[in-house]
Amino acid sequence: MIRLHPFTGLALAVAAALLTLAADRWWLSLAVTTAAVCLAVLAGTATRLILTAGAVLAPLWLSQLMVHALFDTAGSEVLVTGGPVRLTLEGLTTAGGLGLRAAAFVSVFLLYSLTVDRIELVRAIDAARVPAQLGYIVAATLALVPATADRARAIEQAQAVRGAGDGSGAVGWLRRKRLLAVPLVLSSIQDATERSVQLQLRGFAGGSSRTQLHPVPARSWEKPFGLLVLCLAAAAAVLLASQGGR
Amino acid sequence: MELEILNYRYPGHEAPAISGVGLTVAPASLTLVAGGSGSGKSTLAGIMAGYLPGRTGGQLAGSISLAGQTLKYDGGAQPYVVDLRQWVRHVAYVPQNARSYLSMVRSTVEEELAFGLENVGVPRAEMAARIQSIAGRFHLGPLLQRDPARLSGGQERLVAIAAAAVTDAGVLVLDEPLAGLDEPAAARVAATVRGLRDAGTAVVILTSVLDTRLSDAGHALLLENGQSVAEGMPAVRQGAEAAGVVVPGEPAPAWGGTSSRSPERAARGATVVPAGGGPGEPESTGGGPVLRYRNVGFSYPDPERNVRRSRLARGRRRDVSGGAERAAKRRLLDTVRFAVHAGECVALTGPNGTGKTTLLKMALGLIAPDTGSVSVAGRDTAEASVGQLAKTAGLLFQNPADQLFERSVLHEVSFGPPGSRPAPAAVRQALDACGLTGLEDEHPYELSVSRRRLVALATVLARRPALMVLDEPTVSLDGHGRKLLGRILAAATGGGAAVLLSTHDKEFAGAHCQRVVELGRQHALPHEAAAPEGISAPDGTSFR
Amino acid sequence: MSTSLTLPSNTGSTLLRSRILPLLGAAVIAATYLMLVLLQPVEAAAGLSSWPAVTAFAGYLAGAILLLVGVLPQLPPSAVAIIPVGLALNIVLGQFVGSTLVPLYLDSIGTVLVGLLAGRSAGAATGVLGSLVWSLFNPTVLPFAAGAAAIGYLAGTAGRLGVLRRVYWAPVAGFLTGVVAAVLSAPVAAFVYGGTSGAATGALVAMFRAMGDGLLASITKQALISDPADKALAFLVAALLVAALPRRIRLQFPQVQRQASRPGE
Repeated sequence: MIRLHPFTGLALAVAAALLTLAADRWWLSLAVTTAAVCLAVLAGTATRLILTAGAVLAPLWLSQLMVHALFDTAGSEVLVTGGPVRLTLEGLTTAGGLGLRAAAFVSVFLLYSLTVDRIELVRAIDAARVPAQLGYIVAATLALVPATADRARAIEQAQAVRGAGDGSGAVGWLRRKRLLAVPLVLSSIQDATERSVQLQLRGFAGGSSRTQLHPVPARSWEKPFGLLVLCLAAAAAVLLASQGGR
Repeated sequence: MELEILNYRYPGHEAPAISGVGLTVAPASLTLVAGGSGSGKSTLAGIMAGYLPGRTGGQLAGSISLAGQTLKYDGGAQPYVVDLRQWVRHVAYVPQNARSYLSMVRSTVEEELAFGLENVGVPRAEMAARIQSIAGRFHLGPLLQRDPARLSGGQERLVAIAAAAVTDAGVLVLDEPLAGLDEPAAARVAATVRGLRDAGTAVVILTSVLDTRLSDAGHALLLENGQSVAEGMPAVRQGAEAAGVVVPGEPAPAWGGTSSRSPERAARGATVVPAGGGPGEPESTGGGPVLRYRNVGFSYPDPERNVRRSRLARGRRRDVSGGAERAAKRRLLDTVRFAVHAGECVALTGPNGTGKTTLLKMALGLIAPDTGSVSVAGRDTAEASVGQLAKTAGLLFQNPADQLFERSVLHEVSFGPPGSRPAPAAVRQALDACGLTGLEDEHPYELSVSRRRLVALATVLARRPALMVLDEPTVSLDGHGRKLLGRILAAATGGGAAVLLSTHDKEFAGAHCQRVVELGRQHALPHEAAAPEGISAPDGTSFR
Repeated sequence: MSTSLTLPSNTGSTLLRSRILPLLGAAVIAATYLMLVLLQPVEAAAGLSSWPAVTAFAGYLAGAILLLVGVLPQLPPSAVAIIPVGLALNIVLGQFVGSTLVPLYLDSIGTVLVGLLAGRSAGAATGVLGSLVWSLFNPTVLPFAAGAAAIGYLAGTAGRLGVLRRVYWAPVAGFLTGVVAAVLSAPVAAFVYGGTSGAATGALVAMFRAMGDGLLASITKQALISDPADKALAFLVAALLVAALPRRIRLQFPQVQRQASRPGE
């Protein structure tokens, strides 16, 4: 596959999501979802895309089913009744439409985040005309999450060694969590305060004249293309939405 | 650069943190500022680096001359605020904790080196040239494409110093550049520092150890309680010990007159555990074995699993070189066997990355050996829970931040699960032994690094374990702390406890331990600290 | 040597854009909410029309991003360095709870912590950034950025009002914040997703709808049941964690400094 600039990919993802949201047609949502899955197959991340999307979508779908279909009072085509349950065709259609729309949106963005090179993304953010803090925070968070989880494990060991590992029931649970959370937060914040000094000593956040050792290569057509796609999608969305969707 | 500090006060403190310190730093010179923990070294470094007093509310009286400008501070509450963007062009400061100097947001060492240059807007071509030249001088070539988060302690220190030097600042301030490094890494850092000086940089080194590798300093200063008590190398050397600075070459007279355990004796008792067959059991010195390792073998878990576990880091982990993957799969420990008996202190030595920490953690059942077995007081660690083992054994971690969580030293040391809290008398004694009397109400994090380490040690002592396992106990302890540690070890073994400690400090091991077990170099992962060993960062930043 | 090594003693006027952009962002968010509530879309039998979805999504996200871009450059370095920590703690501390059966999310402890320590701007920025970064793993949180910003902002306000001096005020502040967040976020759940993020909350909404409420009203009611409790707990935990910090660290943050220098009550 050709390697796009991270922002070009983002523009495409945003455009696709915006269009499906505004159009709100089940066949378009389905087509976009299918396309995202096909692209994921090409990129070799289909399994992860489906697993992650499934984890996100399953509870949402369940909720949508309950809110719109399962106890519907308005619909006329009743499919199943029993107790408070009144499943109608109309309700099911609404829930299905909403579910597919969410699926399209989720799979498009997950496809982007699974295929984008995170290092390139951070470089691109650094190079963009946004405050330097943004790139730092995004990169530092991505690095800190696994580091913090590792540290939590180290603390758990240390506490176990001090005999703080056992204790059952709610009280024991609370105590264990406190013994884990307090040192974790303490050392993380201590770290951050230290690093804030060091960042300044390395000239962060610099001025507008920042430079970059390895800029992300972008083909000449990518920027205008991305902007064009975004504008077209926005125009289409406004048009579709103002017509009232369906 | 010229400093004349009359006094400096932190906000909310009456007593000045430093007073009456003058320092002149000439180009191409090496200046050594020695002092124990809490002697005002870090404050001095902060002032030189330009972030103190800044907007912290501290009060400085004195003057600083840098690059032809002189700032006169009158001690008022509204001091000048240094424009760090300008200041860092002249002074670069690498803190003791080299990892916190690295930005953590760059995916390769090369870009990490560029971080400071990018911020001041150095053009790309010049940046690349400067990085090439500094990498050449520091021999960092093979590291340039590596992930900075996966460097060993020594590499991290070198990269941090390189990142400071690449800015071409005229003055380079290094805080404890050799602490926690093994022999080869320390030698490399020292050589690099000398190279920088010869190239015209003024280097200022702050240290609590008068390392022989840095004895050619042109200028030296000894700090005690924020005051300059000696100047010039000979005077500093003379006053160092009293000021809490470690002076190698003369074993600290630890336990009243019983310094019969000379390094030679320790060397004779050294047990080298090589690759293949392990050495025989050392002769028993009376008392049953409290801790016994039987043919212990261990390899790192499959790195694939780690990668999956931390999916968030996916983007970064991709950069891991093939070397790291291969190294991580290699066997770390192989048929290690030795025992620690009651009343005995055994030192575990060996280069970084030979599995010392792994071996120590096995004693508490935190890591299970792949092959062989570990038993504590006759009980196999595989069959006991960590909680049960913790009743017999205490472990001091490399990083005190993992262990401390209470709001005061007293609470911290007397902490215990309901039913097995340490007795008040034991707590008292532990606090006394660690020199923490009078600090009971302080927050552990408010103490100096050295004291914080002692608090962690006191928490182990207060539980009166029959087996003390100490991971790098000497790191970040100043001279006073080391003496306390020596006394504690003597008292513990005298009372029948067994001690197993890991250290790089052969001299300390010689003076305080009966036997030395050396892990074979064959097992060292020469360029990788993918796991536990690494640097013993003093306050909580050594991610493992 | 021409460039001065020191900064002028008073920092002078802040940049225009750092004042205007956050206000503009807040205005966009408020306008989006008002528009959705006042012109409440009629539910056709066949479902919702699509303009509310687009409006809720785009309006909230754009407002939050404007807020972020305006706020970021004026944050002090101590705040910049602590924001990633807050975001990491959101996730890691959230997992502590997530691995048990407690029906709360507690995924905003880090945001509240940053707000309490580093102030309103930093808190709001943390909320928005949290949604942006987390959307790499779960894109559905993206339009909730505005609600998250409100949580961080209100946590900062609570810190400024002195919640840290009396820990029992923290859950109260958290409760009120939860109400605001619930009201603000309900339109997203209602119009963008037409549902909630879980089965239990979905059942609640279904119950309210069966009792004759509209979609937005049902979802707002459901959020008003679960959010305030969740945020009250998150605030309490965050305040206790801040209280456990040593003075030296707390004093590094301007907000706490201001508290300390003010004559105590």
